[in-house]
Amino acid sequence: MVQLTRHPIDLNVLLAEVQDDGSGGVVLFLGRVRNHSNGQRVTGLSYEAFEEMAEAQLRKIETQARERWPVRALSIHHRLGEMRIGDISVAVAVACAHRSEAFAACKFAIDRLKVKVPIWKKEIREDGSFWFEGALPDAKNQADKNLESAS
Amino acid sequence: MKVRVRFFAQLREMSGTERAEMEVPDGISARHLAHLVAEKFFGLGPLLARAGIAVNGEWTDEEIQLVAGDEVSFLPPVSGG
Repeated sequence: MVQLTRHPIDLNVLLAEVQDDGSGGVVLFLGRVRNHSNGQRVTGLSYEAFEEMAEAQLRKIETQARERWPVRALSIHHRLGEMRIGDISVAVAVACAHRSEAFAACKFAIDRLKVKVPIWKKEIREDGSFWFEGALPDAKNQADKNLESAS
Repeated sequence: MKVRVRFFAQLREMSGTERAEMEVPDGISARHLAHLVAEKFFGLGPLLARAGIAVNGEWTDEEIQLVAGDEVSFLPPVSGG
């Protein structure tokens, strides 16, 4: 299950979505708003998305994770809009029978999200606000190659 | 033919618009469209050169041939997570 939300991410809801009696391992990754970037003090972040495409790309990542590992349940929630230091911007939860595949599938999901999902963050700093320079198209292509060689 | 163009993040702010409609030669590539966009919207060139391209909501190669009515999105390097 994937979701974009403008509200704080509710971890109880997320974990309920991956509740599964056949899963012995649940890996939860949380991305948080950090107070620094490239040596600059950050006071907050603002996220925007190409929402229809972002949701489709998240669903694709879920499908790819399920093709590669015996995932029993997977949920990704990404928050949009303005956030403060310490707020959770993204949460990925993966439930598998065993922990090693849950760790691998969770890492895959967040790594793919970082290069494939059209979401952008703007850093709010004391000296103004600045778009964060994210993954370049070349990095996206590289991620595709890595994916192909891994499969 | 007409194509629809969408801008996001820095490109949206720099162009001053989220959407534009452009009349372009039939069958041009997405890369060619990027050049026409850079001519129409002053100052976007350097960022367009680094941007990814999605046609009708799917990541695509810049050499793809466009058809009338395509929605072409120029996506600055993504930074979600």
